[in-house]
Amino acid sequence: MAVHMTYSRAAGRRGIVYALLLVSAFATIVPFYWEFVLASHMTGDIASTPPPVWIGSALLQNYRTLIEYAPHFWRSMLNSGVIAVGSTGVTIFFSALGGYAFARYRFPFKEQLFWVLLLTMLIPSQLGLIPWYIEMTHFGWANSFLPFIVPAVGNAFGTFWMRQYIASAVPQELFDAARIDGCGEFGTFWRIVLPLAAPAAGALAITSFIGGWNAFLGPLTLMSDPSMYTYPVALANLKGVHGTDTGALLVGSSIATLPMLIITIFGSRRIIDGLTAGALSGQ
Amino acid sequence: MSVASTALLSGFRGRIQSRRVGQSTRRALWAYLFISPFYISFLVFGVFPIVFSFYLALTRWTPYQSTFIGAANFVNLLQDNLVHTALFNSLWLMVVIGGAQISLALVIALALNARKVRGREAFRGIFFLPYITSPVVLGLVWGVLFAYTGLLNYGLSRIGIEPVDWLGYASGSSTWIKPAIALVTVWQFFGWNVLLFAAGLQAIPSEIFEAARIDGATDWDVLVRITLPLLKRVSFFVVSITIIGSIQLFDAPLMLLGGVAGAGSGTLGGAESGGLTLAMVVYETAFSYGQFGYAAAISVLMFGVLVVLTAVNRRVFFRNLED
Repeated sequence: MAVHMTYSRAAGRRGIVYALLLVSAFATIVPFYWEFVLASHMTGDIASTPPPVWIGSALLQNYRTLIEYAPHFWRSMLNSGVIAVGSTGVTIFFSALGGYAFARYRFPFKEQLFWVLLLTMLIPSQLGLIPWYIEMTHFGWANSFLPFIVPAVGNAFGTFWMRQYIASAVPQELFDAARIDGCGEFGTFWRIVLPLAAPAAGALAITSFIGGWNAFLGPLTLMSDPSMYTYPVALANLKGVHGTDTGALLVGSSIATLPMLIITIFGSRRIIDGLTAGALSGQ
Repeated sequence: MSVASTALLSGFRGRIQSRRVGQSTRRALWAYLFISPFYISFLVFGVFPIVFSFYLALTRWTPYQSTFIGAANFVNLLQDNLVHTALFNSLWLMVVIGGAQISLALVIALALNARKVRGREAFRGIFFLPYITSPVVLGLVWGVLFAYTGLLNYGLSRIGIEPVDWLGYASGSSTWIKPAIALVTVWQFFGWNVLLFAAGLQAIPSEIFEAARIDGATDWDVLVRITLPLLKRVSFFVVSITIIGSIQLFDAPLMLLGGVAGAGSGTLGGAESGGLTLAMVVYETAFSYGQFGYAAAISVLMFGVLVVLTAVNRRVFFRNLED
């Protein structure tokens, strides 16, 4: 009897666990599902009752409308890609370089400089939008990728994160060996440190890539030339000008969602582990 | 041992020492070279804009001229109804989003971390997807779902609930705009909070739970006395990012309520400005009306709100100094 009761209580708890997980997973997926399904329906049919729940036949037509209204759509995807890749490369290189110096070198004021670096992580970036915009236009960097790539040199979290990893995970003997083998200071960094820091760099790369790929507010203010729009800016403009053509809007949204869907399907485990570890390490 | 050889030895020693000094100076210079890009970039792109924004806030700054006007912007701020509405909206959204998102995420994280859950990786992947998807895209998609004749209302009608005018387009009323924004935001970020809490739960050694169970602790005891206190640091982090994220909400409400075309038309933020956030006012003031000084003043207000809320949050979590 007692055994039976324990058993049914455990079964009941498992039921609740799965119910919670399945309901929340379902609620998470449904909007994505409908995004893709509705992209294949004519705008007029989307508002019909009952609404379509399965793939329709208007995908190509909606796509043509999208390209007609937003001729620079693919260019805007490319622009987002350039910003994502560029800012990620710069972030990795300079974060590892600074992190390496803090992890493996002794120099005057090292402690104080590291404290400054940690403090900078507390400053909210939003405060700077207006002055940042003015500064960028003074540099002549409007309608350019530079405002979204160059500042990645000064990534406080990235430098901190790489320092922690290099200090703990890359053995000192390797540096000594590299030095005996005649690698210069930069050679040691480039040939020994960077490859060995790859696991930490991976998590940093994903964060940076997602940030760059989704960049919106900055490009919205600085890119006035439609051929320099990032894809969120292109979609936001499309919504503003042709907001009633839901079908075309959803084709654009679906195309822009695909890369993230692919990332999630093929790499979510390591990415999530890396990102949560990264996020919580700052604490 | 002759005097000569002693002299030779000490000479060697001197050379070795001076070489060492030279080498360590040289290495320190390399270190400075390696860290200097960070500090230079941070000064140019981080410190300067912030210092400059405090100056801007005291000026009437248009793209053509700037005049120092002291605290006038802040005096205007106190009388600006649009700013008051936006501040109220942002705080409302922060409280509702924070409360819903964090409690939901905690429950789901406990479920995800239950023993022997099948398909854990698939669930994690699903919860992760909205977090990395562009809020602009999600705002667009949810705008369609929220339409008066849209899918959400259709679903509600099937369970006998009257259609809701989510975005206020049908009635011109702002009643449901903030709940709609909160719903999208919670939907987008609760999964990431689940993953953070789950990572925090993973870090708790299982022996602690086993020991508690052997001592006869009930599930509720374990949750309240062990799990939650041990999740304190993660919770603090989650609350912090929720505060920062919801005060700065911009993309999703903008897209739900009409995209960039709303800017400059005085209709930004939807019916009765029900969905107007502080970040939207900053954007509109600067880029539709060209009042950069006033926009900077609103940013400073936003910054002040964030500083206060962050301090309160720290105080609530770490009242006891032992942490």
